[in-house]
Amino acid sequence: MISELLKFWQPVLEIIILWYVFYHLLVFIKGTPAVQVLKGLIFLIILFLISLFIAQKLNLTIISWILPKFFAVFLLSFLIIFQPELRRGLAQLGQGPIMGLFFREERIIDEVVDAVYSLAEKKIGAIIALEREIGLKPYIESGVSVDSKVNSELINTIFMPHTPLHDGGIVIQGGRIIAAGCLFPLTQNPKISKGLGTRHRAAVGLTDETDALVVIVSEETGIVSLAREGKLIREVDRETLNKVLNNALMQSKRPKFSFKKLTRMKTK
Amino acid sequence: MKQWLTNNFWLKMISLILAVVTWFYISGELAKRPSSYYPRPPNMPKP
Repeated sequence: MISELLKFWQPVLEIIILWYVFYHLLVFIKGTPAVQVLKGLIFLIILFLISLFIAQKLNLTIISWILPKFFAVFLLSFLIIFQPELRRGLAQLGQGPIMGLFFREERIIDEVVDAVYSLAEKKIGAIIALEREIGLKPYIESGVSVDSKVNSELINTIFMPHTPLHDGGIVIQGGRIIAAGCLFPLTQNPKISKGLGTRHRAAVGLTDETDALVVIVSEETGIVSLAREGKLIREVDRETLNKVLNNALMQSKRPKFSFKKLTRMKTK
Repeated sequence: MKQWLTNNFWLKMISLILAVVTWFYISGELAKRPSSYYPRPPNMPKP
């Protein structure tokens, strides 16, 4: 039985590969003007197949010879008609999971750091949680779904005072801003200074329960802080923040940045 | 798994139909051709 089934592994694999390619092509052009063009093309293909079938049945040799030649030209026109989409697709491939793997995390960190120091300069309060191994689903659900690329301007806009989402935190998951206006649990740690506000308490609270990394910008002082593993580091400079985020998120082979060492350094 | 199936369900179904039709069409076309795996003996007349 199994050996009988194994005989068909090649056709099945080929159909799976074809399905994968077709599916991703359809997803790619879904919602673009190319859909209308594709509908027209499908109509022409059906017309061609019917014409060819009829020509062969009626033994119309000249027509049967011409039609496939037209079809070859038609395939060439496909490349010309879909040239903008093909160009866009190739550009996306360049930014995709294979090529983008090496640059994406670095770009995300740069965007976050840029946003954080821009907000700090303007003394606009912010709280940004970066998900790691432990999921932040319950906190994501407490906010508003965003699902956007990580972008410094967008982060700045979210935290603008008097806007609906500025009070909560944003969650970055898998290189995307998943949600904004999220509520994080407040820490019960008595060691946390009484002078710190709700934003800082929420950041530490989240890192008490998860392995997330939370960056906080103080509304009063514009000081940038970093929370991780239930600890809060105040006055983190741009370079350090970049280093910590890089080490924590990129999981590179470089020697790991010691958070404990940083804690000791800051508390001295 | 269920969420994966229901997400873009119709696009997945259309892609599957397209894949099956394409596979059968191309395999039918290839079946019409003489096999290219075995070279023709030099004295054999062309088909």
